Amino acid sequence: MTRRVIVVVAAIAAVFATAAGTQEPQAPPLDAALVSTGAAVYAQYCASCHGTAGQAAPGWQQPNAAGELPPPPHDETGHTWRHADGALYGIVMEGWRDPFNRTDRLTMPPFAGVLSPQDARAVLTYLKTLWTEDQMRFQVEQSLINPFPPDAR
Amino acid sequence: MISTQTRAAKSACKAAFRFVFTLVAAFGPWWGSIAVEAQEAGGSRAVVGLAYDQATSALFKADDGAIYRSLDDGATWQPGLTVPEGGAIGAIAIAAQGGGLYAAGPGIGVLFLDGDGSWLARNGDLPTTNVTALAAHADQPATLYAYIPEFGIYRTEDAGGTWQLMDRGPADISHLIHSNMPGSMQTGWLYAIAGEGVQVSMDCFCLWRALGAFDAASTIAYDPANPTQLYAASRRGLFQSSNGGLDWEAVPSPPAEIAALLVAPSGTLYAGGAGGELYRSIDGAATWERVGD
Repeated sequence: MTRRVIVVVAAIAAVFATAAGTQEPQAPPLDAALVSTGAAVYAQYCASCHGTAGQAAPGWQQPNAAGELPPPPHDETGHTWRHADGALYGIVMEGWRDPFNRTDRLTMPPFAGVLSPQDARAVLTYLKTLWTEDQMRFQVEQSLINPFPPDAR
Repeated sequence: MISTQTRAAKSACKAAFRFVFTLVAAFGPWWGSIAVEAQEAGGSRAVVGLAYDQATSALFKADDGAIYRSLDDGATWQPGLTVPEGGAIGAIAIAAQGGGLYAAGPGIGVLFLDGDGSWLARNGDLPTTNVTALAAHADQPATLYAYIPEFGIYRTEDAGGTWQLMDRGPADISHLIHSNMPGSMQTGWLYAIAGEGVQVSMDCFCLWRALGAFDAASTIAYDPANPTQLYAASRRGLFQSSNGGLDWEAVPSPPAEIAALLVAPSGTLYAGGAGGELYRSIDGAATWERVGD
């Protein structure tokens, strides 16, 4: 009887301790060196398609004359923040083709062999400076289950 | 240190649990039993939803008041399960990997059918029970999507324990399905009957796009064995797409106003009518037969 009471009390205490310690993930401060490197990478490789400030071109939501989606924005008006670090890294390095393209071309070209894993991580870190706090928090949460691969950390 | 007797007792309990669980899994929920009112199948109430549970080989159809089950591909139906008063069924969905049956609708929110035949509310922290569309993730058993017109599309990743508002989405969503068609930046795609048209978005809610040019679209379904294959019904009839909805062509339609569509894992296509009829096609909509009368 006494052991049962102790077990029950311990279980209740564990529940309260967990509840008290549980907090919404906070967006950690971004590494300034990574952001600086990433900004340079973005300017060289990404800005021509996605806009100098990640704003893309007007009408990006509609297919162009070739039946392909134009490059989307990477700032708070876009949807980059909705994806985990691992997913974004994969898209940058391997490219991506929109299944609704009218052509067989890749929608986003691959940058493996052009960018090092660390540079890919840097440019994605830079993009995070273009998001709102809420967007960054959401993205942090998504990245917990799909982080950057080991060679990019 | 655990005693030998205690270890033996625990093993016996585990064995008994596995035996009972196997029975429940094999025969499904205790249909038509406690806590719910049985209702005869058929009638003229519009079919609002169709679903197939691969784990139990059961076909489900719903009207706004009850859900019915068939174990012979729609030929015969067991008396239906009604939902709690004060609401109406607007959608049903089977969670992936044998995750069970969910029902949703205005006034009832999201309900889960428990193993003993009773409904469990799975509304979590949804702001209202005015859910007009429901979809189950094609692969993740605990992930569902619920649409509330006043707010948008919510997602749960813990079987309805908690919900997160993901996106405003297109307006007036009346039907929602989740597909695991390849090519998504996330885990799949959401197709919606919104207003009178069909729209699609990756399930990251990155961009909603209109598909086709439908006249009063009513419902949409995809082939789980070949997710690029879709069927959509509209006022002008039934249409199919073999490329995820990019292009559509008309196909023969059953002689009814189609209110619900379903492609079973076998490839059989089911169409539920606005007058309660059910048709099925085993040849990709080339021909139809009425079943379950």
